[in-house]
Amino acid sequence: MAFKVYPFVKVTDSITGEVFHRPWVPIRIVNPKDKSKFIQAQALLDTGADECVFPKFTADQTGKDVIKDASGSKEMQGVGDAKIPVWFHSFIVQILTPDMKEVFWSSKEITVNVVAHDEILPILGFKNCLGHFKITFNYASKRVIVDDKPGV
Amino acid sequence: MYNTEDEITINIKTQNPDSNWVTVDEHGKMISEGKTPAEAIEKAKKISDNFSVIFVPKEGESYIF
Repeated sequence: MAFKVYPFVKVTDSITGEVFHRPWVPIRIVNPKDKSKFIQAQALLDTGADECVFPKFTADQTGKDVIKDASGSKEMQGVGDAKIPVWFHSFIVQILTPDMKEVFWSSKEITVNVVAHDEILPILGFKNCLGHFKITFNYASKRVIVDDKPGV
Repeated sequence: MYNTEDEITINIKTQNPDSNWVTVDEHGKMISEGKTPAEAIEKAKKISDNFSVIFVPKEGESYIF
């Protein structure tokens, strides 16, 4: 099968009881130098992001120091005037199947931007990731469909 | 139509309103929570080797990443 269907993650606010949903997919972030070091997380498919950006804990949990072990750094343009400092790290990024038991798609070793804080969830952007897929966001059925053999 | 048999529905509801991160097991069941991902992960590792980390958005907050 060339596509996978991911139900939105359902979040219930602990104070108000309000229910809302998010279109996230499960990923595994692997240290390519030591594949026993990895972390799994739910990631945002961000069609507005040019590149992938990960929070600090993804480096911490794969045995890297976000600043000392970086191969470089730069500032990315955020919303408005905000410039966001990021550090470059090599990872293998794998999108898991909806049941999180298998790997649906795996990147090669790629360079990912990592921020020095944990105020964001992992963001999958166009370069090195979303550019491989046809992605359908069905907000009515609360499902994301990821197709890795999209054709036209 | 597609097969939905392998779908896992993840439901998140934290006990502590200050928890910004949770972990879920391979069945989508919440197993730990914490103010930081490190805190949630540390708790999860005592229970399971197979878990996934999730950011918890707050109702009433608007996010743009």
